[in-house]
Amino acid sequence: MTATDLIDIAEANDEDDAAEQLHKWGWTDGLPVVVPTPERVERFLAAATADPDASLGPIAPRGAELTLRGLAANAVMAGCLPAYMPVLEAAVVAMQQPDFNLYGMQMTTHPCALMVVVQGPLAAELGIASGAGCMGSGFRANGTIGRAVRLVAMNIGGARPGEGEVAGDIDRATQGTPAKWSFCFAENRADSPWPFFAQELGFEESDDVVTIGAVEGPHNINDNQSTTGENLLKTIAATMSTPGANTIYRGGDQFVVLGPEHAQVLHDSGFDRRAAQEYLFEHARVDATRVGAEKLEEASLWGGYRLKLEEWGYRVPIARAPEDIRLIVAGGTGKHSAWMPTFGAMWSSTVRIGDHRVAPLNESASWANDLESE
Amino acid sequence: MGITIVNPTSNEAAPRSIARTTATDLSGMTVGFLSNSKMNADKVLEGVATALVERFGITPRLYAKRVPSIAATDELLDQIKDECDAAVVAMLDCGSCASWAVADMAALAQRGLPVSGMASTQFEGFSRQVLAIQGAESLGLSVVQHPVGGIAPQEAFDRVTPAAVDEVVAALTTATSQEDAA
Repeated sequence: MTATDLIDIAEANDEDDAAEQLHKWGWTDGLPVVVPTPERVERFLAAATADPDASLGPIAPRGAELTLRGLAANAVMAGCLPAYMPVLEAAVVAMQQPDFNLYGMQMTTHPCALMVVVQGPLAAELGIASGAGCMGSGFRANGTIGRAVRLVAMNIGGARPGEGEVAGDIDRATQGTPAKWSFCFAENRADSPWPFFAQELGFEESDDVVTIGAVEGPHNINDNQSTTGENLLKTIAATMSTPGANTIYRGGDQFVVLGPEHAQVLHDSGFDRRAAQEYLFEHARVDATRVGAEKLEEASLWGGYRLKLEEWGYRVPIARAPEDIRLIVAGGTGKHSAWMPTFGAMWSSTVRIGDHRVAPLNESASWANDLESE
Repeated sequence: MGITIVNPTSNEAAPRSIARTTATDLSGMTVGFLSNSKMNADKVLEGVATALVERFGITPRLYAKRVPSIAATDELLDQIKDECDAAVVAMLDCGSCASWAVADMAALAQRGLPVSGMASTQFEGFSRQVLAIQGAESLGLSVVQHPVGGIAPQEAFDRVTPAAVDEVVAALTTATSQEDAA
């Protein structure tokens, strides 16, 4: 460990004092933190897959190098266990992929959080909840893994919330979201009637992978009534048909996390993942005649809608392609699912834990910069 | 006694420095106006262009990228470099759009063009921070009253005051003493 990795908080008499100093320096998310002493950090480094001195790349927007040691320090502060390190390493690699647009998502006025979805046998071993209440509070692994990723974004990436007038306050989220505290859950593989999400991306069933997206907090989709997949998808599509999401005019991908009971209804009606995606793509449309002229004008410029409106019958699709509507199964008993539109100007990223193999983008992925001139 | 911790931040970003190019005189120049397609960005640029035509007889050329929250393509930036003598970028009036517009400014400066950005008052400080991140803090901004979106187009046009035009001219032409020395 070099001298520059260490900071001596001379005025601290104990760890309480040191923790207060971390708050004063603006290095926390506002909640109490565990003080990242060298001894604690060493235990985390020992549990990591990378070399202690390895660089995990420059984190936007500031572009400072994230070292494994820096990651470990933030993981300690977040309250993680050392065993979570391989998940965190994959997550920070995933969020640096160019089409993830970390630079933009860190500084946008949009309320996007870093959503971490862990998949594979390791998730259960680490106690990352995938069942009842998995997106909420109550689970150490979920709470602290999501929190650690957010701390890295703030402390290494250098974007803290504010109005841009104080050094480093360049996360310009107008309101932010509670999901920025932490947003992490695991895929519920035991109750998924479909092939696992990562298998759709070319990974093996036995692989451990991490998917990260820049998303709004989850929007609930309640349907306790539908007995057929088509009727259930009608509810989901109607819930997603809103003009206020970034994704409708910026593109990118978005997430529908199906509760297992909903997923089972779809499966029993013969919908596989692709068929459900196609149904949602065809039926989740926003009636352009219900959107004010000014918003439609700008949104149509960005999305190239103007030349498509008649072809679409003035019903604007909420995504560019069916495969951009990502379907994952998570949660416990009950007839609820969740929709997470993203920042829009981004594609989520999936990385295998260990070797950091990156899943390819959807073949249809492209930016809409030239639609207007078609 | 003191407590030693492992630094959870990283104070040192990779050093970046983008040189600023200035023009001695805008008279007769071709100036590129790059809109990021934010609402009324084109109107603000029209306001600047109208004033620069009146004052210097420039030839304006309008360019646009369709998604404000990603970088302009290299093809578009190269085209501006090939066809223009200087560039004005708008609109720096939200988080992700301003941050990428700043990146576009830096990319144009790197191509050797004098460049100015058009920021709204609420995003001036932010834009200067992001310019510094890009190593481009020497580039100039012209500031107009926030908000620029959600107002009538004519109102956006009128926000380009003579003082705002002066700031564009200064950004494109006024060399600092250090640059003079160089």
